[in-house]
Order: sequence, then C-alpha cells, then structure tokens
Amino acid sequence: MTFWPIEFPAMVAALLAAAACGLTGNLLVLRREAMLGDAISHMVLPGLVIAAWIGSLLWGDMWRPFNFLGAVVAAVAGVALLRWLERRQGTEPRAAMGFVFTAFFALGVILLEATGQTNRHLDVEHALFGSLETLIWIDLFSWQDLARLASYTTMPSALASLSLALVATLVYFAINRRRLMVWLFDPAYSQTSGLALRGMELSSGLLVAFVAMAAFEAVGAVLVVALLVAPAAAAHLFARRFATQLLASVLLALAMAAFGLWLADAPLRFGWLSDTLPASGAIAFAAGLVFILILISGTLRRRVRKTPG
Amino acid sequence: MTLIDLLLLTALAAFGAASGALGVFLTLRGRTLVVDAMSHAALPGIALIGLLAGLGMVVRSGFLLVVGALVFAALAAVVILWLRRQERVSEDSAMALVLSSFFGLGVMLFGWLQLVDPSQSLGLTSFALGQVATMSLGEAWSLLAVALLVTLVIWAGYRGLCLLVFDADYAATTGWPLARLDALLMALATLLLAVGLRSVGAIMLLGLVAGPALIGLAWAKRMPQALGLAAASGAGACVIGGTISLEGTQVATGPAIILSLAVMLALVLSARGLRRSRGVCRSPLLRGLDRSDSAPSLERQSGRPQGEKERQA
Repeated sequence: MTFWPIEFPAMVAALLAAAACGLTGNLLVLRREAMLGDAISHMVLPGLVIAAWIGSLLWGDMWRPFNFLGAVVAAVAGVALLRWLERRQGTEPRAAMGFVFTAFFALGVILLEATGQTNRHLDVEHALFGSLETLIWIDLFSWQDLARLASYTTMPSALASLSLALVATLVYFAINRRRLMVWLFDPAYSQTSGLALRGMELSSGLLVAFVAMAAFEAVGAVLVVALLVAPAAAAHLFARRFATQLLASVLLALAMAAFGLWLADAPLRFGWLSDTLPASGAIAFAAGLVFILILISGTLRRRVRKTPG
Repeated sequence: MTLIDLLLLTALAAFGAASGALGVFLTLRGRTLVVDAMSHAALPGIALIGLLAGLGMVVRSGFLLVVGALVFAALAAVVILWLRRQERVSEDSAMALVLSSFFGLGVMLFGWLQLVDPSQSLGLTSFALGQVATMSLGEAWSLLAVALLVTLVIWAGYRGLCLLVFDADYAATTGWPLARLDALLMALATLLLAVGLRSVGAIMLLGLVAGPALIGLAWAKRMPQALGLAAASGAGACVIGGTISLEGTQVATGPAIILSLAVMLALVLSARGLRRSRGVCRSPLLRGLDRSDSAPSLERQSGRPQGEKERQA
C-alpha cells in the first residue's frame, strides 16, 4: 500500500495549496494585477535561499519560520523596488516588474549554487516545478493513524505550513471582508472615503507573499501562479456577488487540483506509462483547461439565450 | 577558452544585442510580459519534439526544436489575444493563465519524456535557465542568423516601428499599416525567443528583453542612442554571463546574464541620479508615450524632479 504514506500527503498538500492560493488570488485578479502574483512567486526565492543558508550556519539546519521570514522580506523588498522604479525613476512599469522579478530569481539561482544549498534542502528544479512527489509521511499507514498524535511527528512540514497559510488567508478574508469589497471593486471610492484602506495594499501583498512562499516549497513557482490566477479569473467570469466570487474561487481551485492529480495519475492507471506524470505540471495545465471550459460554456450559454426560439 | 567557445560567445553577444534593441520597441509598446508568457509557453513545443523523437517518430535536431518552440509560442500569443478580447478577462489574467498552463503542460510532457526514453531527456532545467555549454554549433549559427535578421528589420522598418511605439494614432491616420507592423514586432520577438531558449532560458529571456531596454531608456535622450545603449548592454551582459557560465561549470547562463544586467542598470540609475541635479528626471523617450496618468505632462511644464513634486503635494 503506497496510498497513505506517499499519495495521501501529496494530495492533501495540493488541495491545501489550491484552497489557500485560490482565495488569495482574488486580491490580484480583481485588481487586474495577476502578473504581480507571477512576480512575487519568483521573488521569494533569494530570500528563501539566504534564510536557509543563514539557518544552516546558525543552527546547522534550516528552520522553517526563518525561511518564511526571509521569503516575505525578499518579496516585500522586490515589490518596493519595482514600485520605486516605476514611480520615482519613471521606467515603464511592466518592463520594470519583469526585469526585477527575473533578476531576483536569477539571484536566487546563483545563490543556491554559491552557498551550497543545492541538493541539501532546496534545488532549482523543485523551486520551479514543485516537488509534490517527494512529500512522504513515513508513519502513516492507514486512516486510523491520522487519529494518533504520535504519527504527526513525521508529517511533512510543508503540510503544516500550507495549513497555516490557509488559516491565515481565511482569517484575513473574514476580518477584512467589507474593506476588501470596497478596495477591490471601487478603488476610487476607497481612496476618497478614507475607509481605513491605506494598509490594504501592504497587507494584501504580505498575504500573497506568505501564501506564495508556503505553496512554493510544495508545488513550485509556476504552479503557484496557476493556482493564484486561474480559480479567481474563472470565478470572475460568472460570479455577480462578492461572496459568490470568493466561494466559487475556492471550490474551483479544489476542483482544478483534483482534476490535475487525476490527470497526472491517469496514464499509470490506464497502463499507458510506467509511472505518474509530474503532478504540479498537471495541476497547472488542468487549471488552464478548466478556465477555458468555463469561458467557452459561458459564451455558448449566452449565445443560446440570445437566439430566439 | 577554445575556438568553439569563442564562436558561442560571439553568437550569444549578437543575440544579446538584437534582443536588447528589439526590447526597446517591445518595452515602449508595453509588450514585455507577453514575451515572458510566450517564452514559458514554448517549453511544451520543445518537450513534444523530444517526445516524438523518443517514440522514434522523428529524428531530433536543433532545427525541429526551434520549430516546436516557435509553434507553441505563436499558439500562446494567439490564445492571449483571444482571451484579452473576452469580457471580464484582464490582460494580466490572460498572460498569467497562458504562461502557467502552457508551462505546466511542458512539465508534464518532460515528465512523460523521462519515462519513455531517459536517454533522450533534454534537461528541463537547462531550457528554463539556459546553458550555453549545451548549445551546438548549428544553434550558434541560428542565433547569429536571427540576430542579423532582427537588426536588418529594425534598420529597414525604423521609421514605422518608431511611429508604432511613439504615436500610433498619428501613424494610423497617415496610413501606416499598423496591424502589420505590430505583427512584425511580435513575430521577431517569437523568433528571437525560440532560438534563445537553449542559451538564455525560458524564464530568463524576459530579463534580456526588458533589462537592456530599461538601461537604454533610462539614460538616452534620443531613440538611436537608446537602441545603441540597449544593444551594447545586452551584448556586454551576454559576453560576461556566457564567460562566467563557460568557465564555472555549475552556473547557468541565464541568471549570470541577468545579474550582470542588473548591475549595469544600478550603475546607470545612480549615474542618472547624479545627472538629475540638472532637472532631467524621466527619460524624455518615455514622456512621449501616451499614458493614462497625467503626471508626466505636469512634470514637463515645471521641469522639476518627480520626487520634489510629490513632496509638495
């Protein structure tokens, strides 16, 4: 039986990442800043590498909360840098963003080699393409083990950080629901009304960085983008109320993750291939497919409604 | 350094110059992130050719890999254009969606290739981050050829391209074929990224397009100067990055190129900071762009640095 120790943690990690990213993605998609998610998910890498390196110097091993701190600091520094470039230096905003996040990622890749962190805890391939398959829960053999506290000592730590990210996202949305509605849908009013919205940009940026970092370790930079953007963009195609939008984005994210996991597993199950395909890639692809399906079905339905009879 | 290394570096430098110059037009037209999405989207094309070769259907060659990359990059551009025309899909969402789902497909196909025939494995990481050492001579020639082509087209279509990026409305009223010029710009970008994937890398290509352009536009006051500066910094960064990558075996080429560009940009921006006391803040080239925010026009009248204006406000 390989389900409980190997497949179950990967599945849970994918679903947790999907729920957290799917909800957080609304902060980017509804402000038409989806590519900022791409930028942030790339910019966390150098912070993560430096934190892991310092951690291995100080404690002999990396310490996960410290990694989180490093990644969030890097993301905030990166966003501050690109805002400074576009506002104070007058550079073309999109080009400035593109160059800054590419440069941050490049720095992270070089630092990985230079500090010798490669192959110890992190490597470039996992940073890019994710490592859902390497999450192994050694002490888990059946569902009964989930009820035993002792088995949680070998739980992959990525699961813990993803759960934390999901909780943080839920709390953030619960606290700021009304403020978010104004800030996301009526930026002009939110500026004039002074509804305590000054901190929204910073706090939402911090949340995106935190969630991206948690998901980044498990599923990779590019899948983070897919999970941030696709569910919220798909929900935005049909949702007419804020609550519907939020609920639909989470449910769609879960569906996309499940579809992707099935897609990765299908060739093995049908006996076409000798092993599964990379799950993170499959989820990103599935997210795109689901979005296109919803888009096309919406267009068709509208067309049917328009034609008389 | 062997003769072959020297040839590779020359080709890479020419490529860097061409993408730097083209990057200026792409930046002024606001198209840099589309290039990023397209270069990510080219990966499944490469994986598909590798897979077909692994299954014994075609013989793998550098030419076929470029064709595969071209097809998928063009497909991505078409999908982005189509998505952008839909209601309720912003341009950013369209790009991010295409970028991530095509890239995901590429990762899947590379995984499949690994299972079918591990000996055919092309190394996904080297295509993502670039590795000049894996380049064949044929690919070096293709870099040179594309660089030459891009230079020729920019030289021949200079007036049209300038009108396209600076004053599209005027160009349209005087009968310039704007749609065709725009398509030409994107076609050149597609060609550039398809041949550059192996040496610069899908993720790093954006930096080589945007970085030199930022440097050129930050310093130059006139378009030819900006183009020259961008081409020079692109070529210089490619030489530095390529040398580092060829000498130190572990370093990927793309990140080395981008980091040298980042150092150059920092130098140019601080040099401009010194020049700023004369009241020149924004690049005059960027002022010509019709942006929705009205800040530049205010600044042009007062001629004050932007920072000062903000403090007064």
